Amino acid sequence: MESLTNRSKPVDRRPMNLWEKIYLPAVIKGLGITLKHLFKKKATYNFPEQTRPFSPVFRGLHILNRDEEGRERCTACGLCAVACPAEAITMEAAERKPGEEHLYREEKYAARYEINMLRCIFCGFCEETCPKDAIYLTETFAPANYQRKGFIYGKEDLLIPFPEKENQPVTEKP
Amino acid sequence: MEQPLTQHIKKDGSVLSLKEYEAVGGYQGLKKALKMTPKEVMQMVKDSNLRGRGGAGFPTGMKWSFVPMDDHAPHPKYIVANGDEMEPGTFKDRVLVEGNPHQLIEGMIISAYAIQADISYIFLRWAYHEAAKRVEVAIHEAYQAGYLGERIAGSDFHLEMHLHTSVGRYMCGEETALLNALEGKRANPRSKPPFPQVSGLFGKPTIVNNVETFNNIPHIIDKGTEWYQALSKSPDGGGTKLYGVSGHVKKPAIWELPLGVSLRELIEEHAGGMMDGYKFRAALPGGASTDFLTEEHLDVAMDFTNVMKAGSRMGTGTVIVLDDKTCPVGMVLNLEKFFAQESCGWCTPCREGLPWTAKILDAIENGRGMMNQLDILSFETVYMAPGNTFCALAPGAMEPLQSALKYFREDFERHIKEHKCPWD
Amino acid sequence: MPLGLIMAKIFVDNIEYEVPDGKNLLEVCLSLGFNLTYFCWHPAMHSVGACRQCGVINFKDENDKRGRLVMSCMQAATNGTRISIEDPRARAFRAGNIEALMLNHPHDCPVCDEGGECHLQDMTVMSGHNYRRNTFKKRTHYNQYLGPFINHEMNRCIQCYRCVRFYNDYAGGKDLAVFAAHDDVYFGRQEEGVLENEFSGNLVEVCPTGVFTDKVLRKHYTRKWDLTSAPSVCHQCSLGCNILTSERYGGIRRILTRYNGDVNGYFICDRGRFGYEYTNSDQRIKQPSKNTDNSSQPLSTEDALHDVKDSIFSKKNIIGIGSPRASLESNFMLKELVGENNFYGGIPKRESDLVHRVISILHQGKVKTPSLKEVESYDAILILGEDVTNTAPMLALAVRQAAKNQPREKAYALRIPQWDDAAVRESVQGQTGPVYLLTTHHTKLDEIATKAEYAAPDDIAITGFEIVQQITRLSQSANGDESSQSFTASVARDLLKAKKPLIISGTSLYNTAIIQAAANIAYSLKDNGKDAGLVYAVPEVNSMGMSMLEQKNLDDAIGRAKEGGVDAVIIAENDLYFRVDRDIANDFLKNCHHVLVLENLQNETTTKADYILPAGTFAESTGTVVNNEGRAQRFYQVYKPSNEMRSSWDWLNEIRNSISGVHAENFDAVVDEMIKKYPELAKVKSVAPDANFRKGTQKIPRETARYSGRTAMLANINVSEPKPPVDKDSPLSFTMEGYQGVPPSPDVPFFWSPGWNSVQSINRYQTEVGGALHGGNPGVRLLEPSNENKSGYFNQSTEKFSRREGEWLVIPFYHIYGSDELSVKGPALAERIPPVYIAMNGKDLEKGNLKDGDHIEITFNQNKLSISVKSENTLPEGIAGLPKGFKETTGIEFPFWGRIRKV
Repeated sequence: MESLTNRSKPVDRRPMNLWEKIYLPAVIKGLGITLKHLFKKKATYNFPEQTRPFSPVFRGLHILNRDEEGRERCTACGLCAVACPAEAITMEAAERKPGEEHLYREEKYAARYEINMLRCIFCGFCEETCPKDAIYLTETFAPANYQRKGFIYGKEDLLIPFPEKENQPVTEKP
Repeated sequence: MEQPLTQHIKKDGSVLSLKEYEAVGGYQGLKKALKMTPKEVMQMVKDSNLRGRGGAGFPTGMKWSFVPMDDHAPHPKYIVANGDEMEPGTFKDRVLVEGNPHQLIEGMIISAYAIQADISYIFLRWAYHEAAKRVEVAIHEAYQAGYLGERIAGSDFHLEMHLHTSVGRYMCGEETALLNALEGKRANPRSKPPFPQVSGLFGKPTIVNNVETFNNIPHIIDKGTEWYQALSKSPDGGGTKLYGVSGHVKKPAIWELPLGVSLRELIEEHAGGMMDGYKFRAALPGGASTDFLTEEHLDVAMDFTNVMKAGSRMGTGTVIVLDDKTCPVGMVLNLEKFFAQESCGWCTPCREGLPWTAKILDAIENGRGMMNQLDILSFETVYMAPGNTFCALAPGAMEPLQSALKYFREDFERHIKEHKCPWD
Repeated sequence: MPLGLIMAKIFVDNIEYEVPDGKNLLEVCLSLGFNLTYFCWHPAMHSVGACRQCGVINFKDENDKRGRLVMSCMQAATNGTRISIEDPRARAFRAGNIEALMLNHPHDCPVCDEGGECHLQDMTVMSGHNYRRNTFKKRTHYNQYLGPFINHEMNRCIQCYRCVRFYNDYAGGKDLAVFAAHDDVYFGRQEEGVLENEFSGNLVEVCPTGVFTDKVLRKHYTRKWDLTSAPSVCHQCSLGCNILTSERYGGIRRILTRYNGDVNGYFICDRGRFGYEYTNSDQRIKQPSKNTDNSSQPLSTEDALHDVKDSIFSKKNIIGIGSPRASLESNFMLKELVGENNFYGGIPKRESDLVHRVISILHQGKVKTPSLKEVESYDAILILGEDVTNTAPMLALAVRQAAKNQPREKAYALRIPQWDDAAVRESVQGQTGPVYLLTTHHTKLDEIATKAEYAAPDDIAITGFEIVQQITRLSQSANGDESSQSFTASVARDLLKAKKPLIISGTSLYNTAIIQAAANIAYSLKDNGKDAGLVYAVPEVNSMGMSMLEQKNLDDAIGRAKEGGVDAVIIAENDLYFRVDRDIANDFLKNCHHVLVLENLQNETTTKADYILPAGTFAESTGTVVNNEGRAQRFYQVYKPSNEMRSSWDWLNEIRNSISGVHAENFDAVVDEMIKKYPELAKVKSVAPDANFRKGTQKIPRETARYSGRTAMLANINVSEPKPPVDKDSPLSFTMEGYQGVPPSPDVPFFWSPGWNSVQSINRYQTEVGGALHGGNPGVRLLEPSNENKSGYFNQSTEKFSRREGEWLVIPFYHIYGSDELSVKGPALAERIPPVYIAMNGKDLEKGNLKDGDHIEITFNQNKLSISVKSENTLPEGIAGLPKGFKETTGIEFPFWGRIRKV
């Protein structure tokens, strides 16, 4: 049969010679590998005292972004939801009323925006598909919770705080 | 040299009255025509080999022959004179209408007789205020003298005539857009077929001819086809043609000359050559929507076939001369701005393509151009080729641009490289 | 111009196809399934050649290797036509054209409501244009307020001119136009304001991009791919236009046209499109309840069924009141439950008699009633007494198309092809063929009428009978009264001259004689060898169906209750206070002692009910309704509500189960029972595939393949994902899993095809563009004329109207927004309801020393109504017009004699 790649190697089935039969060289070779690892960098971390450095492309918990003037960027176009392979995002759109221009950047906004973090696979497609630079995956994990309900992240959890008044969320909890 | 169309026009610029016109043989053609059958009149025009003077050069007699003439033909039929002369550089119809409006009216009545039309309109450019006044008076005189209305000149033929001054769109020069404007609709062109000869003004058979074309008709009927054919220097068609020259020449003007004089003769003899210090570089032979002709084409005979062979069109026969001290990019920009402004907005290439072209040319002319924009311009000339658009406006607009890109490419590139207009 | 069945061989990219000769080339290419881009062409409005998007290379013959670029929409497919769609030059041109359109089109698809179902998006992808070379600023426009239905965003416009062509040329609108020129062209109103035309909502579908979008949808916006949709039938008038109803998060989000080549074609009216908001109303009844005088106690379904069994069905004489807005199945189940003798149709005698009369004429008469679409093929029309624009709006649109037929023949004679829309219109110059109106007052169709006359209802009937005499006279003597210019003579002459004359009438004036006169005219035309048609508009969506099931009417029930023969009543989806006078309704409900109401919205009847069961509207129910043509059509439940709302027949089935143990398994079982009892309804079985239908092994999904958020939508209520609801009543599923191709025509839940996300994908569901859907258009006609004409001519039995001193005959005036019972409960539509008024002739006003806007008091049957007057000089003297169905006039039984006094 033809091999699928050019990397296949035929198995060496010759009978072992004396040198090989005493196994000593192989044992020494193996101990050498063990020894080498003693001086290598450790693969584990003493979490939580130590934290693991993230790769620059790490994808963690989502945030909903605001623009320079503090307005919500999300226009509830639904592209993140449709791109989501886990179907973990849902939203309801609402129309911006006159006088709300300082709250919402576009003429429509997400009145409700929810991510089911239990379903989310953190693939980042939502971030990639967002035409308004509204959703980003940050470097934090979704924290543990006692209830599964706690993993349904609404807009109040996702939206970054209003820049100037940091402790006052602009949106009310539904 | 005979100049049947313009010889009676007074040099002082005043109008020829009905009396004066009749005194020099006016309305003789009409009287002769009314004694003939409509078919004979049409045949005579066919034999004269008169080709439309509006720009396309379509044989007039053939155009008429498409009008249904049987007993069941729909009525009223219409006849319309296209005097919406808005082609940049062109002013021949104005000379004719202002100088001798009766010649036009007589031509229209004869033509109306040939197709048995009932109602006629003179569609005049909005800016021609003086011409409009004079036509109004002339129509009134013609009614008074019995050349219009019921039982014209004692015959059974009847014809009404109205003057319509348009609100001024270049688009109205296109015959179907003109008909829409005349109906009070948006001046958008119509699809052809059906041609206006079958379904034209108010859905009825209609003939639209250029003012200059109608001016030829009385002379053909009056003096015969052989005489008329002999006026021309070209095998291409009979009669004389109003040629004009504008630009930096010594004597820009308009002359009635035999069809088929050469471009060199026009510029050097009649227009007196270039002004001192200016050198001929190129010319648009027939108004703004024709391709440039360069020095090598100076000996081309100005008729329909030969100009076509040289890669342009005779159009209206009014030459615009480009000299060496004028920026060709600026000139093309000026033209494209005009065409972009005058697009009716009906079909996509013209509506969107022309303004884009103008914006790009504006960027190039003002030193903001980029090399890839020349590719876009070349693409636009193909994109707006004849047949790709609804009417001939955009293809016409592309003609000076495509020839400019051919002959003056270096100038375009200099603009882009130097980030300014070298002529500034 | 009927296209013959002559076939032509054409070559597309060197492959031979056989197509109907003379058809439009673009249409042919789309019918053959090619992906050819276009904008300005529309299957119902044909070609004008403006957008230049459908360019293909046309070759003279097989030796012509160069060819030239032509617009396929402006060419006919004739024998030997050779074109190439894929030629690089054609592709480059089409991509270049999109590039030109994109110069000024904003890149705001995420914000745009059209995004995801945008024809421009589809065409851009199809053309291959993807890189923007334009470096200049885009032009911008101001937007206009266009009323509660339509949102305007001019910056997105690509100037295809479809909106004005539809609005003005097709639908007869006057207040939308195109302004300015070159790349500054603007489509809008002369000044801001409400778009007046009754069909303005179609702009949403006609516009290839997001210039005109659905303002009502915008209030609860959802992308097309996120909607759960089901094929449905509009319940807002008797025509039964096919619609697509869509839901998300338990609320109806929007309604779109569902193409039906026999009924509504590509369009629906604004009442149908925007009149659904009542389904989301906070007045909805969502839970069974038990009501006492001053309290209401919610019940679970089990408790409700138990209570109903104990306290209603323990009674002896139980009667049922059906409804013309409930499905055939719901009416049937109620009849089954209470028994043959105890079921009554839910409309007063006067109305019931009219509908039965219409049924007998259509069934036993010899003249065919055409389908709504067929109406467009008639070439002379007489309308008797019906304000169709307001009582059956889409019929008015069809009449407007039919009016174009005769003048168009002249254009076709000039060899102008049918599809060359602009040329045909130029040739026709706005002329209309013979359309005669004989109504009580000025109606909107007057503007296309050859002649419109106004008369009292009885006089309309008398004139109708006179027209029959004229027809007989004209046909008997070859040189009859040819010269007479009288109305009747011109009508008779033009009807006889036409190839296909059509008589339209209806029940709106509650006048039997008008209906009979209309039938007589149609019969006499038929007797003169004409291919005549006869259309009646009836009051409600299932007036015909309910009346086919039951002869008895509401008045019979009221009489029986008065005599003490009723112990309990079950009312299915019927507000009696909308049907009869308040006092009568009050007495009736009191006489019935125990009242069970199945209803979807709270109303006066439900306040009097002992038990209320939440019935689904057309959105939560499945059923069959019969339209004015006698066409039975199926509508499907759109979504499974999270509450107890369900089809009335389902409730009644459950009640029957609880009392007698007889249980119909599902919807199909109910239909089977029904047709067994009523063999004349046998065809209802074949209206749509039954619930066992599978395409392969699959059901038809109500959700698109891209439906999003399934694991998140309900996670805030319960993280555990519930089992998807199962639909045992139809071949449709509530999920996105299932058959992805073209379903059977009655079961199309949405239109989509690869590469075609907009409504233009309808092309792929038709056998040919503008033709029937694959598998035939949905709906089955239950009424066909009989050849024997059992019905025969009617005798004239009316007398001429004579006015009474000091009294006025008050007749109903209809309003598209206002006269319908349910649609007015939606906020958008409610904005369009005019203030209530009473219309009278100006001379009558003068006599009474009244002027426009004065308040009067009208007295009738011990009732008083204070109202402002409006002059309507076309209304005959001695007659007054009062809007029907308005809040102030609900339950009034028209016509009536009233005394009028100035306040």
